[in-house]
Amino acid sequence: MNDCIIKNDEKIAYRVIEDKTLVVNLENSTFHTLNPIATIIWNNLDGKTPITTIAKNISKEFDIDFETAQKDCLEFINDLIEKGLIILCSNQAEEIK
Amino acid sequence: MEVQSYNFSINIGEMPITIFFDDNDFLEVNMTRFSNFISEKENGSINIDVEYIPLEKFKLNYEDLESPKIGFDSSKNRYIIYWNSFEGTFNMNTMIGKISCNNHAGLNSFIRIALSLVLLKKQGFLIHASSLIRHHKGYLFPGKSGAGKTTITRLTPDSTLLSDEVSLIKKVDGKFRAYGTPFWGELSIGGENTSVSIDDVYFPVQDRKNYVNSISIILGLEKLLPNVIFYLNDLKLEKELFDLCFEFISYVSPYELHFLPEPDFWRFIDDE
Repeated sequence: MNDCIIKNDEKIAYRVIEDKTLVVNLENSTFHTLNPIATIIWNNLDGKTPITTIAKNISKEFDIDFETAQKDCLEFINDLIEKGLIILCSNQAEEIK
Repeated sequence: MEVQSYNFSINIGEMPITIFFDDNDFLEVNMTRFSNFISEKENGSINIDVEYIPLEKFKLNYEDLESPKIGFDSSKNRYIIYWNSFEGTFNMNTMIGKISCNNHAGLNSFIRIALSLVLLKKQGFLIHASSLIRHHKGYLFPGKSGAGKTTITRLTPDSTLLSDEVSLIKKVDGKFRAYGTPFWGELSIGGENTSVSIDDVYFPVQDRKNYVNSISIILGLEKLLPNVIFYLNDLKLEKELFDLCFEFISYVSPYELHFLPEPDFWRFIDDE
């Protein structure tokens, strides 16, 4: 798995505060508050960490099975893509599908 | 025929503005509107040339816009701004604005837009919020129309009004201050030309009982941002504004003020 999910830094502003995150899409002035699990995923969207690694970390941290964690991660990432908050590169696109 | 020119200077949030008119009646109307903010002309002023054009001769094609349209003319290094009752330009380097408008509201809107642009450079912003000084303490109540901004000021007669509609916040010496503005809402009265340190921000929520609850910085930021006035679509500047707002909400203590339209709500604020 290669790494190619990055935050859409040109078009968003965000702040992580304690275990939550506020993300603003500056293009359409929409606000998104991320809960603690979503914040962990968000923090790992660095263009380097594969989704499977993020899912493994979530699975361990919150004591949920890996499959569920991975499914939740992928749903969340798809949601972020739809909202224009992150950018997906081609080699990671296969993993999302 | 020689065109006479009239002018007066105002100062809003320690930002001097000199306004030049070609119409004496229009000058008098505006001097009344800005009466609390009239000052001596200062160096470094924003200068605004106003050409008053009677309504019957000045029909704009962009009426009913919800917000102003702002473009940038890079050849002349100036913003081009138009809205329902005016069209104009503003150069951030020379601080010279020029507008044609058909009523005083056009000038008022133009000043607000110019201030929102200039303020960001001075670590400030305009916000839909009422603000006042009560017992030497500053209070800010951000909210959209109908949130209760004016109601709160009406229910606080023992206070100095800064604004019932648009407040000016600026970072000065590491602290955030609210300044009075001439931009009014339902109260139809301009604020006093003074300022106060802001330590607490109360987001009004009309409710069936009075109470105050502390909210997180993240919720405070989410509630604050939609009320901040900035019309320009410029991602770099919008990010700067976001950072400043984050700094502001982290500096103050954010609360929700659940209130009934009665002065008793102050008891709950005073208990905090």
